[in-house]
Amino acid sequence: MRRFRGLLTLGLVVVLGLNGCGAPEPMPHRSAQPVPEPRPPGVVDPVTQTSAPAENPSCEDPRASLRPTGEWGPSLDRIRSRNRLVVGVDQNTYLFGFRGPDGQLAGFDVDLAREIAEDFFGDRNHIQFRALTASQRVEAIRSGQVDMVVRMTTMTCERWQEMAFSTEYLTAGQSVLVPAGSPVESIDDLRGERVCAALGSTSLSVLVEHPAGLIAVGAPSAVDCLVMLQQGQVAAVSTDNTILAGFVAQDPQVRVVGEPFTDEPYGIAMAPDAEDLVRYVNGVLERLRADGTWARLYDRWLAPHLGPAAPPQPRYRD
Amino acid sequence: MARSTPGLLGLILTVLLVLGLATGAAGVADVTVRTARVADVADRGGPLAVAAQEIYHSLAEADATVAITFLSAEQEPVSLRQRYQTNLTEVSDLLVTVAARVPATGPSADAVAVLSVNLPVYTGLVETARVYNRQSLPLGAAYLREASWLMRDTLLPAARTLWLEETERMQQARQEATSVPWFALTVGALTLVALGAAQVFLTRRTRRLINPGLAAATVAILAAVTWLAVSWAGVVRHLEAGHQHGAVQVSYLAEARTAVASARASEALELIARSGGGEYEQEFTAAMEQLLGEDGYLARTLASLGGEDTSDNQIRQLVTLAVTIAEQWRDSHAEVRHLDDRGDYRGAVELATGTDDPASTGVLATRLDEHLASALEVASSTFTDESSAAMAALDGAAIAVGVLSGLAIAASAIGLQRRIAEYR
Repeated sequence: MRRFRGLLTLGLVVVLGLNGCGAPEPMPHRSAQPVPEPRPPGVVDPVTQTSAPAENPSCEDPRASLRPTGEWGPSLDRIRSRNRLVVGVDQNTYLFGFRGPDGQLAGFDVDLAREIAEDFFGDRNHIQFRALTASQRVEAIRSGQVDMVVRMTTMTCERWQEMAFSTEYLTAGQSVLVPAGSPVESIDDLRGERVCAALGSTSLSVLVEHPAGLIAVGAPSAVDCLVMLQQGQVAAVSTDNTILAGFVAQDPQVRVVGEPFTDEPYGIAMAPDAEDLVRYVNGVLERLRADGTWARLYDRWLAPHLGPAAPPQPRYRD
Repeated sequence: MARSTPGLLGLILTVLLVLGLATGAAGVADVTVRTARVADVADRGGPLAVAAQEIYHSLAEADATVAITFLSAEQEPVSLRQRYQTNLTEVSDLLVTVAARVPATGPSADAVAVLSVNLPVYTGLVETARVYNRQSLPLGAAYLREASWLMRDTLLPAARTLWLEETERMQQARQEATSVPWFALTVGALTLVALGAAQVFLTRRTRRLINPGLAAATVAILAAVTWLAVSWAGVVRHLEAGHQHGAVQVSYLAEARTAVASARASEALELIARSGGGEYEQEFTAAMEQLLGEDGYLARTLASLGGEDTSDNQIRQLVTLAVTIAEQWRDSHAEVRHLDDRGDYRGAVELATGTDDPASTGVLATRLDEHLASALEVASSTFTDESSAAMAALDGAAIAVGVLSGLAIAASAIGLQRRIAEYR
């Protein structure tokens, strides 16, 4: 009997003992995470080739446009019947096209576009802006999405193949921008360093082909280059001095070094077949140069940062 | 081999004791494991999956809020700033909860690590953007784009992984918790057969009709097996109800809320980018399709609801209203696009960000989200209630099965010991 009682007790202990608590969970252990290094979206690093046409077309003078004749045509008709001007601008470049304190677009290019609307409709608000990055310009014109692009666009022989330009409305030149404490004094000091410019810009093509042996980095907007410079991801930004002036205005801890080493005439870009529109815009530019409007816009936006300047003289090929 | 009756009786007793012990052990083990699985569903899986879902939703909403803040003509409306802060506080808070509960290694732990590491980086970028924005400098928008990219490229995918992983874990726990206790029931049945056989043998050998000890043992084992089966059936009933009338809807509604945040962000980004008809419009249309499409989350929620259940009825009312609001939003969005395409950008922004106009897409999106959140809460509480009920169904089952098996062992021993003693 005692034998069985022992067995019985053992059984109960085993049976009930199974209902006890489980072991405590081990302390969580995590593997080391890589240190995040956020970048602007759409950065290409490095850029080894830009999509320039295979053969370099030459033209007599990329600055030469069509003389204003007062001629009316289908492009102007289209704008008239739509009752507003559709203009491609930048919205990320300080001083040229950016969102002002009231949320509306402002800047030299934006005001220039408004002057054209004012001339056409007698109302500077009969205008619709489409924000474009540098690389979206060609497609926007080709597809007819916009009537014109007023967006720091350099007139080149290559681009004359795909778009028509107005006469020159501003002259820029490519420069280099570095952190204030950097020893770099010119682009030749940047061998082996990352240098950033906007994708689809002439500046980036210059960087890719530059003999200094730098690493070209492309970002969707030039201002993304400034972000990367602030984050220490590139050593320098190299693009038009006009754009760089806006960077210095936004961040006093950067400086422009050396003289501009390229010649960048800015023109308003339109469809290649919109001859009537090109002539019309050139007429407006003539007036803006003559009546002091150009000087007023320049003084308002650019003179404090780039120094005094006179409007570029128009050249025509008739 | 003992062929004598006492020898045989001793053998029978040993077999019965071993079987009784096995029944008790298997039953208690089954209940113990099942209790842990139900606890996984109720205490861990449920709230954990909900927390992961809230992290996912709060992050998506923070992204949308930041975009709308940027779009608003007024510099940083206070209400939007507060919503952003609330979203981030929720995320940080929930991350602590989740981090302590997910398994130490695996996709969930990795996702938590990615979120913990990148969240401060994201907020840092947003604050940098904010400082520049207040000075109306384009650097602000540039930092904002970087922040939004970090959100959509890194944080949201990690949050989604965490949520899907925890939901999956909860479903697995539910399946394990409702599995049929084959082993325990088989051992119990064997014990009953053995007890029956022993009693037939005794009746033949001793010409006594009933052995009280063995009869009591039979009743005890029968009770233990019944208890086991009934508690299992209770678990199955409640967990299935929690799934059918809770978890399923929680999952659909959570996806729907995230689609709302995503549509809202796309709408704002489309206006910010001034790129009417571009990829952001496609994203908006896709998010709306996820909500309102024939196979959309709202339609699936409605289709998943039962007939008479009161909580189902509540959800049905809320979701039906949500469908109407979402349709109004879609119409208002078309009007926003119409205004923008006609050149009235200011009017379009006004209609998209206004807080007073009942037709403003911002107001509609907020109302829509509120309705979905209420419905989600109903579904979530049904789930919690049913999980608690499943837990309650197992209350005392382990002790009962253990004690009943113990009693069976004792009764068998006493019953047979008397017969064996008669031969000494």
